[in-house]
Amino acid sequence: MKTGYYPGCSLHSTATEYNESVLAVVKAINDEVKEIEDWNCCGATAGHSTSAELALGLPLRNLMLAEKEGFEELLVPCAACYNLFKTAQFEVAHGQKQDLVADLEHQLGLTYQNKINVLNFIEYVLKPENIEKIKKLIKRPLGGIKVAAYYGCLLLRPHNVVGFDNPERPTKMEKLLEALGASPVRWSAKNECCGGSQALSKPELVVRLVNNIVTNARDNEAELIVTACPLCQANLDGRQINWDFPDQNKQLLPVLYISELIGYALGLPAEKWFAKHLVPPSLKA
Amino acid sequence: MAYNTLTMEIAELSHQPVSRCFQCQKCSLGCPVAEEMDYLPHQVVDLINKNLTEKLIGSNASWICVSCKTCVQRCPNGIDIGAIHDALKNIHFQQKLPVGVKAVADFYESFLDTVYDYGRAYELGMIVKHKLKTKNFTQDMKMGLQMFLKGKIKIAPHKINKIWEVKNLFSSVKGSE
Repeated sequence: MKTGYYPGCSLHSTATEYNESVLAVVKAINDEVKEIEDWNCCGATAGHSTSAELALGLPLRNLMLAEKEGFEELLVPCAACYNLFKTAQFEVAHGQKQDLVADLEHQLGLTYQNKINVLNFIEYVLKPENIEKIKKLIKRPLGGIKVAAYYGCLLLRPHNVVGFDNPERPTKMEKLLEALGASPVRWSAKNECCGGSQALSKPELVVRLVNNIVTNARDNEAELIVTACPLCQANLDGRQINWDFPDQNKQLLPVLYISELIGYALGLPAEKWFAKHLVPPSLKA
Repeated sequence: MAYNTLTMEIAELSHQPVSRCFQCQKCSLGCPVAEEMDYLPHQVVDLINKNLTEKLIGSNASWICVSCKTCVQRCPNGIDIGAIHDALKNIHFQQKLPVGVKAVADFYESFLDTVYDYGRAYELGMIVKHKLKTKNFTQDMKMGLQMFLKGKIKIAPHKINKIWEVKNLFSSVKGSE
């Protein structure tokens, strides 16, 4: 299976530890992914808020480039990019904005098939052949550490577009955590929004939402939170150390990418990733 | 009933079956940011059905929306209110109408400016532009500085090779150059 890789802009800047740990896990299980050549930004919230052309066109150019390189599946670790890629595929499959699709096809010189299997990192890891390898390679079992699996919005909703997990009661990340020897906690904020793209424009709103999520994880005795989204990680991690965060005297909760925790369990050198966090991870690297 | 131009534009851009809405308010009850909105999600749908969309010009609702898609997921009638908010924002930008929350519109512009220039988002450029627009320099200083010190913010942008392919996609936003 030829697998393409779309890191997206965050994984090349604020989320380099996500990028590095994803690629390290892929390598550790002896698999290979290849970055799409000359990929562009998916447009994120700004794109679909500004114009319908950008909403479809920016993700679609990447999907077309991936098809041109002959990839059958595409690993997209960023939840926001993943959601927009899935949305673009959904729109094309339902015959929307055909003029725009035709324009892009003409520009890139191809006939678009809309066939690539777009995977988020959890889906990729849970592929039967991958999870079996991971289970065999575990060198540092997580010893029952209590973890809150945080899904946020864009991996889950809307279900008819992304089709990943139960949108109200997701459990796939918990299954993965159990395989690593961790104890996932039961908590109710796992699919609540962190405020995502409003991080710069309406920070007070993000502070309120993040506080609700972190408090809920702490109340359910979580020792750390894991996520598969760079926006969630940046908001949950960064907001806790900022001066405007409530409950300054409470214990801060580290927020790891799921790939970092897998890499740690596989015994990969995690110090470099952990050093990027604003709330230092309590695991001994 | 003859619908006004704005109602027609929203319908055309969002493609949502708003007439199915029976005002169960599930959307508004699940919305994590409803308390800050002048019109709640179910009220926005109601205004469209009653052809009172002029009330939505300059409303803060679309700009507060975090695109979390909880309303979309829970609507028993399959109405994507996020798509309606996107349509409203698109129309505000196209027709240069007064926006409900200027900081949010400014942020979208700062973000997309870097995508237009480089093909990829360039966070440092975007933050500088956004700070200059909003003139709020102290907000989030501690977090921003820490992220910078941790090497989480890239200094130089990366420009893609075929930048014109991305610029072409902006023709409806910026006009063709």
